[in-house]
Amino acid sequence: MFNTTLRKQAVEKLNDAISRYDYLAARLEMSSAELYDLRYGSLYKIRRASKRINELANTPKKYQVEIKKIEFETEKFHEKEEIIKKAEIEAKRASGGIGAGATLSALGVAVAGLGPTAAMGIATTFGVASTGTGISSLSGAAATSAALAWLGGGAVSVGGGGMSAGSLLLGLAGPVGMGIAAVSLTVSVGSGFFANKKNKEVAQEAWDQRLKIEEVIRKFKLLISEVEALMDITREQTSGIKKSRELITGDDYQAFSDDEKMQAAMLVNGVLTLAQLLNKEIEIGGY
Amino acid sequence: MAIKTNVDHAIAQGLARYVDYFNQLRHSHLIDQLDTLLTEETEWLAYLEIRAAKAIEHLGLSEREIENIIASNRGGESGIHGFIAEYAEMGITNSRQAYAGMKELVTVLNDNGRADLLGGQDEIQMKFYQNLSNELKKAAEYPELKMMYPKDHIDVFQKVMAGEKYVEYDGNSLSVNQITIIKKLIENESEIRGESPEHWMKASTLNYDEVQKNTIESTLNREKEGISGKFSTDKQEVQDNVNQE
Repeated sequence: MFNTTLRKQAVEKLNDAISRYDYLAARLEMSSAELYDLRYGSLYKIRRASKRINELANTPKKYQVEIKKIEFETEKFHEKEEIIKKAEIEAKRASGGIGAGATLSALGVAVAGLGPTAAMGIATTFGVASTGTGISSLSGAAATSAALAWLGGGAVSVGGGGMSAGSLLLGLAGPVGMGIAAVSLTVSVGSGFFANKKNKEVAQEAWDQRLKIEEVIRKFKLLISEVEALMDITREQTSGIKKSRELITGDDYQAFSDDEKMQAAMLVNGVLTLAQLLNKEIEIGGY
Repeated sequence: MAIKTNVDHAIAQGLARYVDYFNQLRHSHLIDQLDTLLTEETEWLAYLEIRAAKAIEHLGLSEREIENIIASNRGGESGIHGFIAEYAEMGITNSRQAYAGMKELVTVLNDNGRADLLGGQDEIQMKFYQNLSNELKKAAEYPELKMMYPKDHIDVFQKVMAGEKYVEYDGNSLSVNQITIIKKLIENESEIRGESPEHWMKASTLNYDEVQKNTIESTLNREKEGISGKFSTDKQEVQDNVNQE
């Protein structure tokens, strides 16, 4: 047979690229879940620091304004969580309890199929609703229905195979990701995707797919870098406010020295910054 | 005649297979090479992206802190730029470090201590005054700390110490009297500390004008653009290198 080796080799390269992609998709899922856990843990630190600030007597009035801003940010985070939890339950109910077909339709991400923590991780990290509007900017019924659409808007075509993180998250890579068929399935040389085609044609198609997957791999590596950088900064800020809180020992602001007043001001500032970081979403740029 | 035709046909078939075999070898080698190049390019780009993402996050964190400082008018009209300068120094230095693939270098110290910043091993007191003499006089209050001054002020101090007669500051040339005072202050402080000016005076990454309430946004934006620009250049270099191989 002419070009048999070529066909075999091109398909092997494609499969290698798919394996690399699957690994990265799982890593992105894990990093997003880890970021969510980290943010959840930070909420506790924010609460403790806010409580400490509130306990101080005779603080300037502007501190109350900043405490309100902090509360606004933490509530926004909780609201997002609630919307996603609620929508996930409803999406699972709608799909007969399996949940594998529930999809973040705008991106083609089957979030409900990922399991609660991973879904929450992806949803809070990337935060895009099916309308293209950030979940955080919606409210009430609109938010719930957007999240429902997000989580339950029909299945991504995965060529009938089992759903790996790779196929579930393909939509995060934008149009290129959506254009890749059956990426979660290992392609075999003589069947399925490449059946009934000439060797040279198969080799060419496998190579074309392999190139597209490389683009998706690059996109995922970028997203992972961004998630991990955000985690580093969140950790840094969390540890900073913990130290700052521990240094405030007195209870009456008026009795504080100038340095102590400064310390209190920097704590309020740091807590607000951390609270804002909880709601920071990573933009998914297209190609 | 028929036998000759069959033999010719067999030879032609044999040759075709032979040529095909070589073609396949050639193609196979090409696919291997392209695959390796693609993967290498991805890895290099990812390395750049990790550094760029960290760099941008450092700037983003400083930007948020500074926005909150400005919103609450911390330090009042006269003192706010001091706080801005601290967070800008931290964000910009750490961002540049991150892009260079190195660890964070600067931390803002909120620890009731006398130092504003920790820069590597150095405890630093930052002073950003418009009046150069007043700025230098403050060093006497912090003998145990390194002093950090705006980059443009340090340029002036260095010129003065190098004995230059014409030194420009803030659009005007300094008078002989002003130069003499600055020189004296630096010499005295160096003598008390027992170390050369280069040792106890540190230059900030920013000029005095760049850390003001109304300029800091564009300062940080410029820095972000700088990182993005470097990222594009480095990315292009990776792609050029791969294309050359």
